[in-house]
Amino acid sequence: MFKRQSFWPVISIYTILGLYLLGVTYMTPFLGIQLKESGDFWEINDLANMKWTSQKNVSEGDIILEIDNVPILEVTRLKYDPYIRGANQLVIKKSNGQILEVNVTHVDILQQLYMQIVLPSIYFLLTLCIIIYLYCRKKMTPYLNIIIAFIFSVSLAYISSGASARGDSIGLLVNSGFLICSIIVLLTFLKNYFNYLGIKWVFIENIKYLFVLPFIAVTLRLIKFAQPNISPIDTLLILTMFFLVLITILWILLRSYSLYKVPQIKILFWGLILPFLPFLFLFVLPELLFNRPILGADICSVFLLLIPFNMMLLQLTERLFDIVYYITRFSYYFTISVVSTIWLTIGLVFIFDLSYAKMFTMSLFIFISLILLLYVKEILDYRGRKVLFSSKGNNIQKLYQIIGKLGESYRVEHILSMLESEIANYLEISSVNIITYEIEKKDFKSSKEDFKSSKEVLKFSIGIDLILKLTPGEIIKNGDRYIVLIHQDLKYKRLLIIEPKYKTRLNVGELLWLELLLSYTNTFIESTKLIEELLEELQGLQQIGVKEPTWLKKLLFLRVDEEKFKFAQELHDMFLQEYLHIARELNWLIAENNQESNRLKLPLLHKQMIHSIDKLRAYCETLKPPLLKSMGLNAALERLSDRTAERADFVLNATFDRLYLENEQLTLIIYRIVQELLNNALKHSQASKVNLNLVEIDSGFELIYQDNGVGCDLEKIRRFDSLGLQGIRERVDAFNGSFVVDTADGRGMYIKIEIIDGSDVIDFSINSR
Amino acid sequence: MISVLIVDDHPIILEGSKLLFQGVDDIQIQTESDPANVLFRMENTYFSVFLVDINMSAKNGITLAAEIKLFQEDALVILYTGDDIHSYYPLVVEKKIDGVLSKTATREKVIQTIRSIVQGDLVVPVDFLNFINKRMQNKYDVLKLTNKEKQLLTMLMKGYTNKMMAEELDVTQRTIERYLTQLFTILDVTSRIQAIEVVKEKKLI
Repeated sequence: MFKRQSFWPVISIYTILGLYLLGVTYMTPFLGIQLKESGDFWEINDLANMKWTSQKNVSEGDIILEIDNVPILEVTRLKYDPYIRGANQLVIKKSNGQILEVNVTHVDILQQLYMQIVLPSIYFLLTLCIIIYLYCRKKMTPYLNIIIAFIFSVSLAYISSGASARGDSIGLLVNSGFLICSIIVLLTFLKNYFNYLGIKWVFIENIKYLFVLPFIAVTLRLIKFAQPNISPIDTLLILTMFFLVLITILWILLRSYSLYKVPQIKILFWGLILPFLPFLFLFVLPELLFNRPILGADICSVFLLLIPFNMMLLQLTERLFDIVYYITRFSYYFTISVVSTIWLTIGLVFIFDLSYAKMFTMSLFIFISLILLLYVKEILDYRGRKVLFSSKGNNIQKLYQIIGKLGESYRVEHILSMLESEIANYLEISSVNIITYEIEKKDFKSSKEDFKSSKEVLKFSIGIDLILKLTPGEIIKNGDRYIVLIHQDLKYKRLLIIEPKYKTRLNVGELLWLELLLSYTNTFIESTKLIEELLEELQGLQQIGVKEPTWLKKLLFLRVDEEKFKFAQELHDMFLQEYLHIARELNWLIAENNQESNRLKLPLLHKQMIHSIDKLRAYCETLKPPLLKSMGLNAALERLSDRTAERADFVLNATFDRLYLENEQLTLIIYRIVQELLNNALKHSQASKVNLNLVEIDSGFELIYQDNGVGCDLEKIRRFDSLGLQGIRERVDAFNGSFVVDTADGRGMYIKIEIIDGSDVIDFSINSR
Repeated sequence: MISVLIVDDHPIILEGSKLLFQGVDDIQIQTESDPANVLFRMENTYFSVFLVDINMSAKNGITLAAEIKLFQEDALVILYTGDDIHSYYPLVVEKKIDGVLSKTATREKVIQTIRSIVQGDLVVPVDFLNFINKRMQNKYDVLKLTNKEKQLLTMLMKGYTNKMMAEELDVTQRTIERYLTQLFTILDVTSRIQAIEVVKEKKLI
């Protein structure tokens, strides 16, 4: 590689070499005549350019007398190298003894003129322009040197091919040297690029030693000049070197791709392979199939010259990621085009009865036209209606997910932080920030602390004026950043700032995605604020004393009255009758006033009384668990399970983890649920074994009930709710818990309840359901 | 002479209790229906024994017992309850109260209990021993701390204040106080320092 200051010398050397090589090519038209020694004469054995030779009346078997005014016997090199590659004038003796003087000019061989002089010249100039442009461009990428070196070597190898074919020694040296050099520079480029992508290099580390190879190639050629009589092994060696390195490169790409699946490698691979495809499909395959190539090998190989430009485009436009995006839709368009092309071609072949060659050309034309058409359509579509097809469907699907998530949150901060993390996850970006600008204080607040520098950027480089002018949802690009106004109200402006990774631009799909997401977010924030205001209003009302709406009060009255009636009935049935009986007995004793019978009957009455009191106490306990407040949940639960075990026919195995609950209301809920479960077990289960476990879990608890009783049909529970399960379910629901019942006739019952502890669950239960 | 204050917010019980002690010369009875008044009464009059109802609407009897004991160190407090007395054995063990009586207990039993307690005896049913045995087994060896308890204790050992703990767990300070009360009861300690000592000594974490 060369240093910056050596740029102009290199350019000069390149220009001089190029001009010289092109000059040589121009001076001596290429003939490609193979000779055969027959006695003292040199006879034409094979002709490369049949068209020209027949035109000039030169044919196989003619004897060459002079080349460029030099008698043939004085050209000694023919002994080891029996070719006439280039010449301006030939003197030949036809088999009938006629002596012909043949003048060779480029105009005689038009195709040769284009292929060997015009194209290389264009390429030479193009290379020169591009390299100077790249050099003058202010934004230098780190591998610019390598790319320039690559373009140089490919260009020199190409334009020297004409001169080397004509046997020019400098041309030959330049050609062999730079052919090898170019491919090794490519390898170096790859290594650097992999380093940039952070991918492990799978080939040897010290590839700079490979730069010995071009010198070996040149040395081989020099030896050949010095000792022309050794067999022509040099060309074979140089070509072998070239293909070995080429195969190494392809292997590196394939292996790295299989290991790391980075799309950029795939693109590089195709960037290398694609230029070979015309050669394969337009020359080799038609040649094999129809014996008639569509394009000559020399034209096809011109595509190979695109490789350095491919590399350059990939690297310098800084659009690798966009290329990923375009490639994914290319595969989609490709499929559509292939199918339509096949269909159209079949139709056309039937109608017009075309030859194979025409059919092939036509289908190629249709195919390319279709692909172009689809791209044009996409651009027009996007301009017109902001409709964008997504090949992966990812954009839209992801948008759905995020909107779903955003819908669950009920605080503006929550929405914003969610937005931030989702954007960071989805887009390839290096940083995302949400900035709140307080209009009155003219102050910025960031979602991240290390954002001071960007704050400055906001203030000075973007300017507050610009920020104030932004309308919600509008995306503007400032330097490498994207700035969007998410939402604004009287107090705040909330801005989103995105910095893409690797300084890539966001593509249209991503921008549209962002725009949609932000418009949803804007709506969400609006609605959330409305809800917040409503909640505040409600709380205000509560403080004033207007607690519930009248319909709710009415409903509560009715429910409370219903409960009262139920208790009254129970008190009446269970206790009032007993007390009436005791009162009647006492009354009778008083009336009788008999010492003897008093002494016998009073203890009995006392006993009856105590029994009744016990019953009443138990009843009170079920209504208001006495230990819950004074001794805590665990004591109350232990007592409950002990009492149940005393009365029950089943073996009760109950364990209660000590819970530390933030929400105190939960203790009563747990107690009630356990009470209800044990009551069910007593009344309905007919079980012989009941397990009940209260288990502490992360930030909440789990209550698991299990019995081996008769179970019941779940449908029946739903319809009649005979088991009070509905009451449990309502309680669990009020605390946002989960409630699972598994039972069937004769198969016992399994109930699992899970509630997450949190003091404010109740307040937002409507939102989060 | 044993001076006794009966605290109960049901006037009918107070009346009945007065009747209960009629003809008992060594016990002098006074009654109070408002638990909030008890400490004022104590300022003026000395009582050696307090019969306190648990289930009072103004103030829980257990809380009142603690207040009485704090106010007057040698006060003897007997819980006098309509509930099942078994549930309150832990309070007896922790010396938060000096005895517990059922409201359905006979006259003789009530009088006898008061007399014994004043003499420094403990009067409890035989099944109190079962409770003690169970509790002895349970103590520390069997005690398995829950995750939350370990978390709380770790913070205590690191010297966190209630405020710091509240911030750490994202709850109010009042909640932390509640948690610690529960935790100390389980460890049978009354202060942070004791709690840390017990944890270290018994290697609970």
